[in-house]
Amino acid sequence: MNPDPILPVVLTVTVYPPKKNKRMVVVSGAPEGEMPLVLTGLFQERHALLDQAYAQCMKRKPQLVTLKGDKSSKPDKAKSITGGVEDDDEETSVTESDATDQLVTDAEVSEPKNAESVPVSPITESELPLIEGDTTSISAEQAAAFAQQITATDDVLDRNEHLDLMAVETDDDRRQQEIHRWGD
Amino acid sequence: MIAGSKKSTGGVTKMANFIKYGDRKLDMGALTLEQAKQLMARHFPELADPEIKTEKKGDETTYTFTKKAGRKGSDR
Repeated sequence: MNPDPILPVVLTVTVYPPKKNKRMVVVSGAPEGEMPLVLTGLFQERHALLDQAYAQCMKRKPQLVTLKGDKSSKPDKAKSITGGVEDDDEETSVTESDATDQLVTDAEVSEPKNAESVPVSPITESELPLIEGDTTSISAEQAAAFAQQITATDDVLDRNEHLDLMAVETDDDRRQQEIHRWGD
Repeated sequence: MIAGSKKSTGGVTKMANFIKYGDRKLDMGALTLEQAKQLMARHFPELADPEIKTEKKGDETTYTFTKKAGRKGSDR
């Protein structure tokens, strides 16, 4: 049986003018896009020929016609004349982009947890970035000391700000108290 | 009766004619070339005005049907 029953089967009957008192009939049939099978006979046999054509169409294997320019049938021959070098490059670029666009897997998600457990090695002087115009050479210990100083000054500044706010609050309170006195 | 195949009538062997379209070959049998053209046009609309190449190999004659290249924007 034909494996693709969705395609309609086209049956054609061609009746030719009589020759020597015999009228000939040609019956052809095939699913759409397939090579037809041809049956010839007398006009009187036309019904039998139609039945036979349909039965043979259903029994035979699909005979889809594939043309030379058809890419799906012969992909090797469909390559460009330039030797397919450009095509190969395009394919590789596609695969790279696919790799970046991949969905995040569970394994990838668990990686940062492992990365946190890795001990961080202290920064050496050679690893520090060079800054243009900076002639001073600071060791890692000195850099750490500066960093501590900076954090300490930041803390002091934060406290001063807090105190200033308190002072502002007290001034406001005084003004309100004065207003209440005048009101009284 | 399935058309095609070599027929021997009274010791005279007739030539076998075939239609070739794409990668498929069809036995023409008793059909003339004009009849074959009509038949192919019914099953393959793109072959309404085909380009036909004739190849003869011994007793066999093969008519290779190809779609005629139409103008850009034309229906065919």
